[in-house]
Amino acid sequence: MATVFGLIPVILAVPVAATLTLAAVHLFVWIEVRRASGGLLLSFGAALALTAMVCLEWQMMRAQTPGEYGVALRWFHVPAWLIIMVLAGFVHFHLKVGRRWLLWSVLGVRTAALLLNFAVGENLNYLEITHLRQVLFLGDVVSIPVGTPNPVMLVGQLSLVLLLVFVVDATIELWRCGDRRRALIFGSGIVLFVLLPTVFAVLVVLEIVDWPVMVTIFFAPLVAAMSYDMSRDVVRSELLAGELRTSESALHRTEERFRRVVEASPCGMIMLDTAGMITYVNPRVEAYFGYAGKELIGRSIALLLPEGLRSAATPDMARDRAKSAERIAMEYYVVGRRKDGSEFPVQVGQSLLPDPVGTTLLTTVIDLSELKQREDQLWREKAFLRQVLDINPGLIFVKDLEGRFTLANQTVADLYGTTPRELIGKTDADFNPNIDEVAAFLRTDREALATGQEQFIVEEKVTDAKGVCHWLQTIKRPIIERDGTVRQLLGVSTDITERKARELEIEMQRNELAHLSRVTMLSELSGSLAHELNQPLAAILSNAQAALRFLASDAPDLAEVKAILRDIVEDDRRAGEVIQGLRLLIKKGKMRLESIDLNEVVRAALRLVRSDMLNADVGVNTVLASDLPKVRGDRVQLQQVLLNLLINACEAMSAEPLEGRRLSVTSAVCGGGLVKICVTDQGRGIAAEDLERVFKPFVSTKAEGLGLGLAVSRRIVEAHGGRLWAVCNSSGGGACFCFTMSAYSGDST
Amino acid sequence: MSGQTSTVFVVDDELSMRKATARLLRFAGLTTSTFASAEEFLGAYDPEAAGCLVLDLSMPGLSGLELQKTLIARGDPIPIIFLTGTADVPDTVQAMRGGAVEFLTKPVEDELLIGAVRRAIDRDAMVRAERAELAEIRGRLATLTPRELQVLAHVVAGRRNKQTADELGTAEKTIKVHRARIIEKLQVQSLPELVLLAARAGISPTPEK
Repeated sequence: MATVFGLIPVILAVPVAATLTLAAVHLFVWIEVRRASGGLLLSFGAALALTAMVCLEWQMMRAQTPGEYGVALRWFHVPAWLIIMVLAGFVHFHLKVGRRWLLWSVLGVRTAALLLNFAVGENLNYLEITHLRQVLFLGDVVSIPVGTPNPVMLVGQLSLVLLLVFVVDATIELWRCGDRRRALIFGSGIVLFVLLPTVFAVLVVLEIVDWPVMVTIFFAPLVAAMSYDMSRDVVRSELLAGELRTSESALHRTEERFRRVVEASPCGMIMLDTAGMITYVNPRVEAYFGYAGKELIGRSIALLLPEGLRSAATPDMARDRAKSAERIAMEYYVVGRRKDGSEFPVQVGQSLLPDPVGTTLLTTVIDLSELKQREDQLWREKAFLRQVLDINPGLIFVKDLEGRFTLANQTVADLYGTTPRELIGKTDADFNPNIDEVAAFLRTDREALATGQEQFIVEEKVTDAKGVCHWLQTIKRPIIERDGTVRQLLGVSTDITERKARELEIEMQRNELAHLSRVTMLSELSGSLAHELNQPLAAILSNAQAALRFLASDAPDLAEVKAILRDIVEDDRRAGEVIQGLRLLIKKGKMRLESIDLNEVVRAALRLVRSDMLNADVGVNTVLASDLPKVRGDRVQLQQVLLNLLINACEAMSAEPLEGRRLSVTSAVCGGGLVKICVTDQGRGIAAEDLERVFKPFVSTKAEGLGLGLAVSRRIVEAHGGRLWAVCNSSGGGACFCFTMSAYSGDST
Repeated sequence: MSGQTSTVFVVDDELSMRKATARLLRFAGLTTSTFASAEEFLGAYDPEAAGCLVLDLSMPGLSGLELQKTLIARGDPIPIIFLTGTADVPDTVQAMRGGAVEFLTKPVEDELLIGAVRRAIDRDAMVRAERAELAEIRGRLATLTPRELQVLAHVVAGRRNKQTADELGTAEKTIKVHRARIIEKLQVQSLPELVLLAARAGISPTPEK
């Protein structure tokens, strides 16, 4: 026979190589994983069976005698049985589908077919092979048997049909389960492998085709399918491995990140095992406690605690605490101990970390030294502020919108006979039984809160716990919060009781002095006043006596009597006015403020000094503004000022020649809502350096004066909020005294 | 008294006082004339008019005392009754020195004022009568020659005619003639009457050599 090999060995070698490769792959996988033993068995079974089949097929094709062929074919059924077992097993154990009874039926029938193969005839296919035909197939001369077909071949066919049924059923199941790809591949692969060789074998046996029996060739699609599935597994595992690598590196990155976070954390982190031994510390802990990390690892946490606290920090306790908090971080404040033995306050947080290997206790540590220092500083500042508040003799308080004290200093507490602490949350009404006072406080509080404007209360009264009345001067300022709202009010009050008493005393003294000065002036004026009073009295007497005489006559003219009586009345009134003026001057009393027309005061004063002016031969020029606004003041005192100025002016001119004795009194409105009164004489005047000195008490040029007149006048004007000054009279060479007062636009009563 | 009616001049700057005073005097049967100031009075006053002046001491402008001074300076002898509210001693002294009739303090009783006014009027009348007589005597004296006046002075001195003639260097007979002429001219009846007249006329006797 020709020794030249055609395509057949190549074709036959392909599935063998494929299955062997497959088996090898499975072997390696098994070696690595040791779990895919099913796959290994199947692939090895398949490889073994296929190799045997290929060898036997090759032997059949090369058989020289029908006997050789028959034997080869008989043994061929052994690997064929094996391959069917492997296929059924693959479907059932690898794909995990297929009905068990069908499986057993396939196995049973095929095994029966194998037995029949050895028992009946030459082999399962032939009862007897009569001879061999030599045909050229794919470049090779191959033997093709010719003989009598074995009827038991039908058992083999049945087993194949059963296999088909089993596989189709399993494929449908697989399809339904959703694994359509595998269903398609293995379903069609096995069906093809079973159908095609069966059909082919039948065709060969029935001698319809002149081809050698080449069953294995049909195994190729199945091998392809299996290797595809296998490769899928490999690809998947490769993908998984890739994913694993990716996730590993991601994990690594994450770990790195967390490690950095932990290392950069502003708080110290210590990890403890269940025995309380340190397993990890971050750099912050090293910085806090002055230990190197490696000095701490494996040591007890107690190392970081002062002696007194070590027993309290047993790991059990920490664990119990952490447990009791159900893994919610617990925080408590303890004292830490540095390597150098110094201690510092720390805030410790502990939490149990869930860890599959073992429980880890994470302890976070925050150094509170700075915080504590800040706290201490804050406390000191607060205490200092409190002292500043309490030492202040003024009342300092803060109230909320309902008038409740939120802060009050000792002075407030002293006033109300309580303590600053007691005041908090209470209102004025709780301490002050005086309803009017409380109402007044509340009113100004509300005003400040409502307007958002600072309120200045010039004076307000408050009765203290002992019933003593105090006068306060208060500033109430709304406290504006960050969000712009006003919810509190700051009040600062000064006790002005003493000042007020002093002011009152001064006012009384001033009034006394004014009175004294008035009385003094009165004595200066007495001549003039007497004359002013005498004049109408004299007229009255004469008139009355005239009337008496008249009535005594025989025919009295009543019209004349009437005229006389009218004159008497007129004169009496005049006398009354003088008396009134006199009484005002003598009167001693407090300042009484009223709305006053200064022109009237000027006229009244002129009336009183008229006769003095006559005696002194002083002529008076009066220029009074017709539209003079009223002022607010005390009539008597202002009249006193004018009288004083007029008398002074008269006296200043007593040495002047008769024709030079002129006095002018003017009233005018000047800018700034001021009313100005000037008394100008033409006497010898005042030296420029004496213009101020004349207002000093006991400075007098007169023989009989006390020297108080101008001093008192100035104090009176200033008490009225005005100003009194002297200037040199530029035109006449005398002196000019002026005073200004604010116009008063209040009620004209 | 002369037949001329006397007027009471009331000078007071205050209307009510002026009115009241004038009214009172009027009802006492006196004629009054009122002035509001000294200046007004001086402007209207006729020195020939008889009467008296009721004057307020203190007034704007010319005061009472100043008016008195002015009148004295002018030789008007009108009697003045001062009325004042304040009785000031220096003022009173000055007023009385100036020949004031009365210095009354307001308020003044009517009787007092009226009495004073009447006295003043009487005095005025007297003064005026005396003044008239003196004027008449002076008129008579004016008719004498200078020689006769010389002789008169010797006669008043009580010298005899011979003595007079010797001193004047003339004859006794001549002196006699002069004496007769003097008696005739002066309308006197006797020597004592002549001496009295000469005395009233202010002729002083010639002293002896």
